Amino acid sequence: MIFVLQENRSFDSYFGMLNPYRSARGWNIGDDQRQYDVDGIDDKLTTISNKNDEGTFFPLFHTTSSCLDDMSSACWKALVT
Amino acid sequence: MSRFDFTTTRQILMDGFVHTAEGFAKSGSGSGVFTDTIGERAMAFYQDTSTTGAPELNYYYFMASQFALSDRWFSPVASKTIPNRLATMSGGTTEGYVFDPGNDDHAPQLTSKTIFQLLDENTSHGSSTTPQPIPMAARPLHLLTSATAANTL
Repeated sequence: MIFVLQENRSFDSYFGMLNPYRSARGWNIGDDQRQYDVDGIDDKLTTISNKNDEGTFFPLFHTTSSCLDDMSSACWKALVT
Repeated sequence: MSRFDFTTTRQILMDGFVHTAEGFAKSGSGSGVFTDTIGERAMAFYQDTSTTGAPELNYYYFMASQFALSDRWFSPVASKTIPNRLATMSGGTTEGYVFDPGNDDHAPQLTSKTIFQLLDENTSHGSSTTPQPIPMAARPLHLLTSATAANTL
């Protein structure tokens, strides 16, 4: 049994875009030939946003950096290069 | 709606992530130096490949596609790391502790059994009719090896 435990990330931040990845490889089709999708963000990219204190709306976006502020445990770049 | 309405039937807006991130940055709480002081990072997501097409979470995306994966993640306890690990490993209890029992409360070793101990104790071994453990790693690791070799990960 492999037991993986991660923390400090939401499903959507890490795996929100799994649906296009899985469907591009045919991995969204189960052995029973039925389609299995995750509840991600690929269908919500233009409809979800949060407002900051100045009233600016920020939609979901694909980060250009592997390190985000105050997310020290998520800086994996140093580990893979 | 009132942000101080904690009734169970209240509407859950889930719209305060940028506000919180902005507040953390402007008050300087957290680790390191903040470059994002507008809270935008709260809306950031990762993908299997980066914005420039380089590998990003390709390993995790591959593994997540080979194993069963829950898309409903919750924190067992609205608290820090240690009590959450305790609740996870024990199958649901921290024995009442809301912080780190050892470091914060100087408590003795907890006595709850782990889910692995419980599984062990409730699984009989040695019988020919006992289902053998399924080598779950075999398939994904095999696929991972071939995918890496074929550069199709």
